[in-house]
Amino acid sequence: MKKWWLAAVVLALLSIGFWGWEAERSLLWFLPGWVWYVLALTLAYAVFFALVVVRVWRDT
Amino acid sequence: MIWTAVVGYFAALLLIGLYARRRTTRSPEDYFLANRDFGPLVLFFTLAATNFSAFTFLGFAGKAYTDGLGQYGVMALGTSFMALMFFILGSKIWQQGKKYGYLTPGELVGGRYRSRGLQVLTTGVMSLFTIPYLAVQAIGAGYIIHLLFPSVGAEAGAVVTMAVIAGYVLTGGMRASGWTDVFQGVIMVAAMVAAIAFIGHALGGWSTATRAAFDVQPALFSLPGPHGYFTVKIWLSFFLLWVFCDPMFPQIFSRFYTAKSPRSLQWSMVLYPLLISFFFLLPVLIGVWAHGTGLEVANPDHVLLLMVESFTPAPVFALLMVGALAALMSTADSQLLTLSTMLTCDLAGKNVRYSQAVTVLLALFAVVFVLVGYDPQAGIMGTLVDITFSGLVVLAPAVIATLYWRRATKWGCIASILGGEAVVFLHHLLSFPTYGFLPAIIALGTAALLLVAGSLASSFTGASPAS
Repeated sequence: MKKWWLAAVVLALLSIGFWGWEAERSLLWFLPGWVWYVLALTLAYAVFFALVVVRVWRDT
Repeated sequence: MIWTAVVGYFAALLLIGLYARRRTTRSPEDYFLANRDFGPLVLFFTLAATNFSAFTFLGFAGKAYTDGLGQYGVMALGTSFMALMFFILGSKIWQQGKKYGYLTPGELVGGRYRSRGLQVLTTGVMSLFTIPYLAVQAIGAGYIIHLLFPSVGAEAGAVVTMAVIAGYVLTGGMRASGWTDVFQGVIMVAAMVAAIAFIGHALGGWSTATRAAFDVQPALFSLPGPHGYFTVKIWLSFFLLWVFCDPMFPQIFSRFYTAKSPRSLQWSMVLYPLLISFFFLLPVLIGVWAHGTGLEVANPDHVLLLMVESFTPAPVFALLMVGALAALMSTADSQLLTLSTMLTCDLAGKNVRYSQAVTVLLALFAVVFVLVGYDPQAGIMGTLVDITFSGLVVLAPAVIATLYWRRATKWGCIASILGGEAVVFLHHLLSFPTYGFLPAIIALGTAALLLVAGSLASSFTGASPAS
């Protein structure tokens, strides 16, 4: 269980993205890179939640 | 065209309400919680549609027009991650609700400590911040109807919209609320997808539209944005706020009781971030694209409407306006039902007729709020609307401790809630420094500390912890 909590904390920390603040922005296709990062992270949440359902929630 | 769309939409909602009535008995559990029988699809849509308000539609675009793409980040990350609470809180709330027959959040919190006072306090705080919010929804409804039909006054628009909402809530209870949320959720998504597809096409493609806005104001694409609003501390504040505040909305909390099984909650948890990942991006992009079009935008909150009016055919504008109404109404109907459920079950007993009377009174209150021309930003109601999120997030430590911490006590929870609320109101009055964070986060931290201190102190003095 602890490793799942740890993974959730890591995802939460990744959500802050503080390392890329105030950096020069350029567009990747029609969005800046950091917006692609946010989009990818929300999709990563879905994958993580699916794993939580399968590996943790079913057992509890 | 627009008349047909709006009248057809209202008629469909009332028909769904009538159909729900045929499937609903007058038993409290059936009327208030749809017999705890929502499957994955209905639960997912009702959680999403209830949480996404008119602000998601109109406000996101306006905020993005002013402060840039950062609006997507602060809203999407916290709201998506919040779905983990469907497991952490939702599964336990569902379990306890089924086991003890709870219908309201107050019953769960008060029930663990066998404290009627704590039950009433929880309901009181939730109602205090939700009733003004409901009234604001009525104002928003009148505003949208007036924008659609300038010959119809905002007051008349608010009256009609609230009457329709009360109509289907009264006839079909939670089942009508949930089923209409599915219908309204589909309209919201379809409207936004149609809007961005047409606008993107009219502006020469998404890449061209973005490039045009980027050339005019590149700071919109950066963090912290053109006005420096999206700092790391604000970003973190919003992340925490949505994670802990959203489940404390009574209309969201109550929906955890309605799941047919954990499977409904599980599917909702996985689908929620998938929907938000793209749905929240669409109004934000439209708001930012407006800078590249040369449109004169006097009021940022109108930017989405201006863009749709300028760059899409009339049917898409009609669909978007119905989508905005759907976003507003799906939140307002859930608030109306949940408020009447709490104010009845927690104060007067589990009686469907009483609840229906309260529903009518609340709808009338919201309408009177509009008719007397009350400024939603003024007076005590204005204060409550301003601090709704802060006021509700304060409940999170007490609820989490109720479900997970064996040493939590009634006095710890009371200290946490009252102390947290004191910080919220004091900040509103005195504006003490919050060191770059949202005041809600300071209140949340205070509530958490008081919960631990109060519980430990009261257990040392002999108060029994969990039952």
